[in-house]
Order: sequence, then structure tokens, then C-alpha cells
Amino acid sequence: MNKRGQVTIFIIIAILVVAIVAVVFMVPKIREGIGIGKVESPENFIQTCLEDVIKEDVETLSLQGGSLDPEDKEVFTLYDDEKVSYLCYTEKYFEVCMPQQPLLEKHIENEIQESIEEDVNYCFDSLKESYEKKGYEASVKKGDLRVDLLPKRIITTINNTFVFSKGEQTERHESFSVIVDNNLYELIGVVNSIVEWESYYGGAPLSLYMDNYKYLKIEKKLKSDGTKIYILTDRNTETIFQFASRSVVYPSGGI
Amino acid sequence: MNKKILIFFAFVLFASIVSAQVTYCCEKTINNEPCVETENIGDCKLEENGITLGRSPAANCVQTGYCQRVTCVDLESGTCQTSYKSKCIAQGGDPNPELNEFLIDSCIPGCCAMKDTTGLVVNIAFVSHIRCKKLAKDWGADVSFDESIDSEDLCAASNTPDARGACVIEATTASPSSSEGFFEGLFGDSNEDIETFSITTACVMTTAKGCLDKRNSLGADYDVGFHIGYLCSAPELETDCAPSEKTICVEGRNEVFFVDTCGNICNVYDSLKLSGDNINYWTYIAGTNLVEVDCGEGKDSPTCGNCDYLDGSKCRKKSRGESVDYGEYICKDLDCKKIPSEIKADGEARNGETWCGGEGTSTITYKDDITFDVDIKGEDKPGSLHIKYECREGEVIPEVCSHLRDKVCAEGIKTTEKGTSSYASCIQNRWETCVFQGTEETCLNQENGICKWVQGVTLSVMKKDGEVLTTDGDGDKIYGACVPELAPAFEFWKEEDSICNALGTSVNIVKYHESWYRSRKEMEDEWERKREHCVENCYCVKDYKAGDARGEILSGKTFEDYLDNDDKAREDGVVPIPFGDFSDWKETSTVICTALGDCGRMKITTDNTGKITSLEDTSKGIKNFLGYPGQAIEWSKIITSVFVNKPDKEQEEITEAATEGTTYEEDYGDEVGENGDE
Repeated sequence: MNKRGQVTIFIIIAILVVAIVAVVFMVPKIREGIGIGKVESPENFIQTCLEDVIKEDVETLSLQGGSLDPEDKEVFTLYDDEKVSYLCYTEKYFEVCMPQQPLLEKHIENEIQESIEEDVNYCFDSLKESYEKKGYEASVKKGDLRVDLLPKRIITTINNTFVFSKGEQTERHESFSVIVDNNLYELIGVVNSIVEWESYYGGAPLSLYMDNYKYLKIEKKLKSDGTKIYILTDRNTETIFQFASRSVVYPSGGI
Repeated sequence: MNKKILIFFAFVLFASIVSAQVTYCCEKTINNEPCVETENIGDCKLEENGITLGRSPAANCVQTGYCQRVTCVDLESGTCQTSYKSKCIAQGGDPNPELNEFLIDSCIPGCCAMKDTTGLVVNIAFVSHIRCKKLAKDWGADVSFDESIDSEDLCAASNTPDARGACVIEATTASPSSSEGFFEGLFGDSNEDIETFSITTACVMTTAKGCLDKRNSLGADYDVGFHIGYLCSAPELETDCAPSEKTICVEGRNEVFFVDTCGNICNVYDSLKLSGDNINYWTYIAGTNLVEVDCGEGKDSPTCGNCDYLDGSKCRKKSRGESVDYGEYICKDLDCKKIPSEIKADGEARNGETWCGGEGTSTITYKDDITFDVDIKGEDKPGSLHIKYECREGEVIPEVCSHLRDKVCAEGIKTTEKGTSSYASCIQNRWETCVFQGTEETCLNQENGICKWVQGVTLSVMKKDGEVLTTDGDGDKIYGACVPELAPAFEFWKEEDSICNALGTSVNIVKYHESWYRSRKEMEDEWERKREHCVENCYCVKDYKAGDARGEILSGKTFEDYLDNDDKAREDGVVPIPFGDFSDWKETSTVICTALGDCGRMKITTDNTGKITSLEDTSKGIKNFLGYPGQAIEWSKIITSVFVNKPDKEQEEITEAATEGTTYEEDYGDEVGENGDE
């Protein structure tokens, strides 16, 4: 074969190689079929599955004084069609209130934890199913669940064990963390402080808080029965936490 | 038969014992209220989450174990808060019977400072040492705890960040390079390998500790040096970082900052500093080496980012209509503008400024900066609401002090180098203490409450222990009344509870004796003579003070002979005359009555916008106040709900009047009598 023919053949082969490579890398199904397409990592899957559920729970309890179902166990009041729990309460006149959630952070963590238990099970079942569809053998071993409010984020730790295998390849994933960016931790710190003022003095100096925490707008709405609704708004993120308090209330007529 | 009688009486005795009132303490009521005393045991919730709740006979819940007040200590989070014992245990806390947190070791606060790995202070808190450890864990920071610092202010002042500077990281890297083509490289071996070297000089702004940590983590291939007080854009450091026109806001700071080409934060934005003559501004951190921020005030400035929160500005992204010479950020004006005149007369307020407002309120001002005493002008109308307004970051935030005037708004003016501004606060109106003050001196002492002394009329005041107060501390009869300066509000539409009814409309008849040489007319006209010759209810005489009556004695009689002795007075020719001009008595009694609450004499007329157009004296009674708009929407709700059991024409008229702010008149005839009627 003459030199010209050789070059032509090489060019054709090169074009074919490039075309095959392009098709393989650009068409996902082919990639998966020949085993070079990636399945979504279990961590990403769980994060995506649970993130919105947790965000929704956080938004709900933030408008209801830290409880997801105030009517069930808490004393609450109605404000703007929301059931808002009292975080400091007394039914008596003239007296200071008693804090209703002495461990508010823990209470909120428990509320979220109890609420998402079923969702966690669902997400792991879905994860297992998605791997099995891709030809893997998968199993889930349940572990404990924990929610932690931390600075600027909420971390849900699920100590489930997820194992999947195909052929000789086996992977084991223990302990999953779902991270939701949120400043509920910081808001709760201020809320606890306001509750302490209410329980000692019957009121809190809102201007002082706004001087020290410039990102916060704090409003106090007064109801006719003496209930105060505190509304904390983060100006940067526009997240809101609100709760009720009833402390040092004077009766009409007073005597 | 006797047996039957005995059984009957035994039954009656038993029934009386059983029906004796017993108070129960519910751990939780069926409405989830915690620790409530009730006479109806049916109010108590029985169980929750499978746990039986407490309910036992107790005069006071604090006597029970489950409702004992404790300090709830959480050893995991380090928090300490007052709580009921059962609630504390349910949440996993450790109940401590000591209610003073400062006497519980794990609750005693100290200064907790958290620094990140570069030495930057990330958080300061005045908390217990257990809480401090938890915070350090949460923040992922190193922590120092000092229990000798016993206040939050000292804690904040004691922690200063470590000095910052430029951490220069120099790396020399080698990379192979060749001149072979694509196909040669793919299918064939190259015959030549050529190595080239490149030097990169990165830079980050950090502390000395932070730079040292970087050096340790990067290893020997990197040359790391720290230059205290220098910016990464300093030319002599010869880094890859250079000045840029980009600006940024920094969390925890108010100013607008320059950013260099590497993304490091430099000095405060000053558009004049971008020219080549200002190389020092890009070399040294401001505050060192004679470099200062000198562009003046930054509020709304296109050239200067020196925002000052106390002056009412803060770094924010610029909005449409705003312009800056460089970058996207500006010192946003945080003051409040275009405030409606009904909220603030001059329409403007500074950021952080507070003032009083509200419809139909009196004006309460602080007398000085030292005491909490106040001056009061005007009168509170029924329905008035004392509101404290605050300007905060361009927004006016209202805070209602109270619906019942047990808290009212007081305002003062402060002068600083930046001018004058108002400050306001909701203060307690301790009106209920006024009636127990027996002398003018104690009455006007504002430490006892905000009260006024009304001479000439007395109140029979029954103290809480049942004693009727008619004499002062020295045993002298009280000839005046101490009443609230700021009348509390009542739900006067609830007639059965109306204190106005309790006060009544009785008339005190003044009795005095008449000398033969003075005409009756003279005695009626001259108040001074009335005061001198009065023998009974003398305090009803206008301006009467104790001791005024000189007691002109008829032959053989003494002044005291006629006190409380109508028969004797009549026998001796003393003529009882009603207290002269009723309008005087009404004036005094109405002052007392209105001072004690929303009763009284005024009719308010308004226009359709709710603005008060006239006030008119009337003795029609309390229902005329329903024409007062005040917080018109709130009042219409109140009135509608009060009269819900009376769905008739009366209710409709009342509601309509209150909602639309129109004048409401109705003749109630005998329903509410005129003051002064016998």
C-alpha cells in the first residue's frame, strides 16, 4: 500500500476512535450499560431526599414557637391564623411567667427527629431500590437518628449502614449526614435570653437586642389578653422565629 | 324513727364535708396549661404519652412535687433555666431545687471566648463553663474560659483579635512540556522531555498563627512568610494579588471594603485611593503605618464606604437609582424617612431613635436624665393606646405598651454631638398604689406611683386586708384623695364589672352652722365662710383643708357637738344645705371618677377619618364613649364581640358608629343618672 493510502487509513481510524469516544462519554445510558456511568452517591441521594423535608419542618416549627403540633401537648395562642406556643406562661395575673421549654434547643431537635423518622425510612428504602435497579445487591441496616442545631446549620446524623455490591465490588457506607443551612441555632440563643427576661422581669429590652444583633428585627405584638407575640426576623435570610409569652399581666379594672 | 333521724343528719353532715371546697393542682389541664390550681378536678389532664400526670389536692401548686419550681440544668448543653420539676425531667434535664443560678456550680457564668484556628475571635459569650465547652464543640473552635470575669461587658472588652497581616506562600513547580503533535503523542513515543519551572506567589490575609498552621500543612515545598500589618496587594511582597475595583460587605462589620484580585479583603472603600499616588493604602492595613480611613462619612456616598451604624448607615448592595463610583456596594442610609405625620410629626427619625405615639393619649415626658419621674400633659381618652415606635434600619417598628394602660409610653430628648433625638420606653403605670397614699406628699412621690392629689373629696378605700383607710399615718382624717394621674382602662361595656358602678353617684351634704348676724345668702356665696363654719362633710367644700373650720361656737355648744349629730344641729337651728352649686361637686367627683378609670363626662365627636373634631362635656354616662374611634378597627371588633348576644338594632348602630368614626348619641334616659342626683 502506498504512503498516501496508509495515511488515509490512519485518518479514518482516528476519526472512528474519536467518534466512539464522544458517543460513549456523551450518551449516559451507554455509559451505564458498559459500567462506566456513575450511580448517585448514597450520601448525595439521602441529602437530596431529606433536605426539603427538614427545611419544611424547620419553617413550620419556627412559626409555631418551636413545636410542630402545639395543640397536642403545649399551651398555645392563635396569631395570624398560626398556633403559636407559649415559651413562657402563667395563667395568673400580676405574676411572672414560667419558662415552658427549659431545654428549647433539645426540644426542637427532638421535634424534628420525631417528624422525619418515617421520611428517613422511606429515603433509605428508595436508595436501596435505586441501586437494585442498577443491578446492585443492596442492604440497609438501621441505626440511630440524631438532629443537632449548630451555628449556621442543622446536621441530621443517620447511623444507618448501607452496603451495595456488584460482582466482586462491594461498598459500605456508614453514618450519613444531612446538612441544612439555617441560623435557627443563633435565633434560639436570642429567644432563650428573651424568655429569661420575661420570666424574671415580665418583659425584655428589644432595642438592646437589636443593637447587639444588627441582623435581627424583633417585634412584639400585644394581644388583648396580655399575651405578647415575639417575632424575630433575620434581615439577611428573612427567616422568622416567633413565640408567645404571658407574663405580669394586669386584669382590666385591676382590683 | 330516731334511727332515721340520725341517718338523715349523718348524711347531711357527710354531704357538707364532701361539698366543702377542695383545690386541686393539675400538672397539666386539658388545655395543656401547666401547674394550675382548680376546684374542678375534671380540668386536669389524666395522661400524656402513656405517662400519668399529677393531680392532687393542694392549696398551691408549689406544694406538690411535680410542680415544684426548680432550676433545670442540662449537663450536655450547659444551659440552666427556671422550670417546673416535671417539665425539666421530661426534657432530660437535672432539676436543682436551688433557684439562684449563681449558687449552682454548673451554672455560674464566666467569659467564654472562642477563636478559630487562625486566632480570630469567632464568638464571645457570658455562659457557664459547661456551656462554653459545648459552644466550642458547636463552633469547632478553641476556647478559653475565665470565671473571674463576671459581666458580659467586661467579657466583650477583654477579648481582642490577634494582629493580622499578609501570609505569602511561594511555590516553585516543575512541569514537563514537549513539541510533539497530537497523533505522535497518542500513538508514538516522544524522543525529548523538557522541564519548565513556574513560580506562583499566593497570598491570604490571616493571623500569625494562621500562617504558621498553613506552613506546617503545606510542607517543605512551599516557602511561607508572614508580614504583619501588610496587605496582600503590597507591591513589595510581589504576590499575584493586586488592587481591584471590586468591593464587598464583611459579616460583623458595617463598612464597605475593597477586595484585591485574589479575593482578600483590603481597606475601606475610598474611590480616591485607586489612583497610583495612594500605594500605601494598598500596602498597609489601615490603622498601621500612618494609613487611615479619611474619606469622611459614607452614608449614601458614591465615593466612600466608611459606614457608621450609630450614625445610621451600613454596607448594603446598591439598589436601582443608587450609584457608586466602583463596585456594587454602598453605605445605605438606615434612617427612617417619610414617616406619616400621625406617627411622627416631623416625618423623620434616626436609626435607633424611639418615640411615643398613639391615638388619644396624654403626653408623658421624663423630667430629667437622672430620675425616672415624668411630667404628664393632657388626658387619656377611652380607647387610647400608648405605642412606642422605633426606627430600625429604615423601618418603623411599633410596640404597643399595653391595652389597659398598666404600661404607658414616656419620652425624653437626648443631645449628642450629632444633634438631638428622642428616646422612649414603656413604663409601668402603678395606678393601683395611688389610692393607698394618705398624704399629698406621699401621693406626689412618683416612687409610689404616678398619682395626683385631689383636695376636697375623700375616698373610702378598703385595703386588701379589709381595713378601711380614712386616716393618714398620723391618725388625722384624710381630706383629699390620691388618685391615678393616668387612669387605667376598663372594659366598661361589661357593666357588671364596671368600677364606675362601684363608685356610685352619691352626694355629700355639707352642714354648717349659721350665725344670726350673717345672711344665708352670704354663707352660700362665700366659700371662705363655708369652710370656717362647716360642721360635717367639710372636705366636700371647695379648697377645704383640715383645720379650716374655726368652729364658731353657739353659746354652750362646741364644734364637736354637731359632728355626726343631725338631730342636735336641727334642734339648734343649724340648716343643712346641699353642697351649694352642684357643678362644683360634679367637677371634683368627676375628677375622681375619671382618674380611677374610663368613666366620666366627655363625648367625643369625630369625622369620617377618625380624627377627633370636638370634645363636649356631658353627663350622659359611659355609653357615649362608644362613639370614640380610637383604634377604630380594634374597637369595632371589641364591640361586636361584646354585643354578640344582643343581635339587635342597638348593636348595629354602635358597631357602625365605632367603625366609621361618626358621632353616636343616644338618650338612655334613666339608665345612667346624672351625677349629683339625690
